[in-house]
Amino acid sequence: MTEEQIRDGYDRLDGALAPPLDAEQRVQRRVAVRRRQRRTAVAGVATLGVLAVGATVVGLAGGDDGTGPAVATDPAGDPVSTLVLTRPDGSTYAFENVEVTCKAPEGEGTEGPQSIWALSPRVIKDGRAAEPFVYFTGIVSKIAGDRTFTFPNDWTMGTDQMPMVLFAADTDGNEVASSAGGESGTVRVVEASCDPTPVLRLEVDMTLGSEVEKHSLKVAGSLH
Amino acid sequence: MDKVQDFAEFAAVQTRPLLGFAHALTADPHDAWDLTQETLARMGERWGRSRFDEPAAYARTVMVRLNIDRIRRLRRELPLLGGPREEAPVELVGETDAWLVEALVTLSPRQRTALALRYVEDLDVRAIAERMGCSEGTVKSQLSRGTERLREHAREHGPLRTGTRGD
Repeated sequence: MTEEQIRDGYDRLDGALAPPLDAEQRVQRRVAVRRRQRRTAVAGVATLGVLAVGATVVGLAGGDDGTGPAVATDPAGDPVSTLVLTRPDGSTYAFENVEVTCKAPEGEGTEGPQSIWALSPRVIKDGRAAEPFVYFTGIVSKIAGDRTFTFPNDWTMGTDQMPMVLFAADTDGNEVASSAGGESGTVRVVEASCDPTPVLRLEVDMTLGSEVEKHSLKVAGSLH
Repeated sequence: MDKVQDFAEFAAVQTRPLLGFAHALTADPHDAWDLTQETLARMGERWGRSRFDEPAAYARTVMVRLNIDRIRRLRRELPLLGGPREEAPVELVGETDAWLVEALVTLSPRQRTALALRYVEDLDVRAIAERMGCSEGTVKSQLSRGTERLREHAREHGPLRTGTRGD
């Protein structure tokens, strides 16, 4: 067995595989998952920080369940949320406390076009959501003006370019998104504005695909 | 150039060569794709936030480091890989040498990594040590033991070539 024979063997190994035709989409999805996981981790750290400061801060945060929001917010409108997550077994979770903000949550870049976010409180324990949470982000200039987005779509999968992303996490570790693959439905953005204060009105009827190879979850309702 | 488009072009150009390198690192099509995908995802996540003088070389360093404790690290960090594995989406389009694949499976990840860097990337001991983040002495040892194991396996089983083209 000569060096040349070993090298020839490696040459053949090197050229034996072809990537899947949808390699780019698969990679972009995993990029999105990693970004989401980073945000979730940051939210978890932020929440632990809030809890460590003490009950006063938690009380000021004003969450009904005492957990408090884990995101920085600017003076926001006070939307009424009827958004509900429905699992395959029929059980549901209502996102009653949703805040709208035009300030990037911790862990997200501030560069790029003005975006708007709607977030329910995020509490992470052991790398999982202790309570389900919902996350919406949209580029204001791309979603404003009473637009309805129908899924699936052929947007570029990079989160930075997509007009909007709807994401939800459940307590079993499942994380679902409008950009995960397997999604369907519509998101109507009735109003989206950051000037002078954050305003976001949504009508959602979506089945979101899992980013972690679990089941899809339905998220429906409105934010107004 | 738009940073998302920029990364998309990088990924489009690098996916195939990275997959080939990953195949040499793992000797397993499924692991090779996982490793390629994860490497590109980590590059994509940092793209625009970090400066890469030589992104292609950096991607290979990321891949090498991931491969060294690939299973342990990926399973801890990626719920994706903890669940049921989907069928490997890659396609076998060329021949492989059965003796080499079988021999590589018996090597440690570090030995496979050193050999892949030598025979696929054509790096010298010093450059291999830099990529692997270890001493040159360790690299020499890994190369020596790995190469000997390949020769031993070839002696025992013969350099038979199997595989398919286009099936």
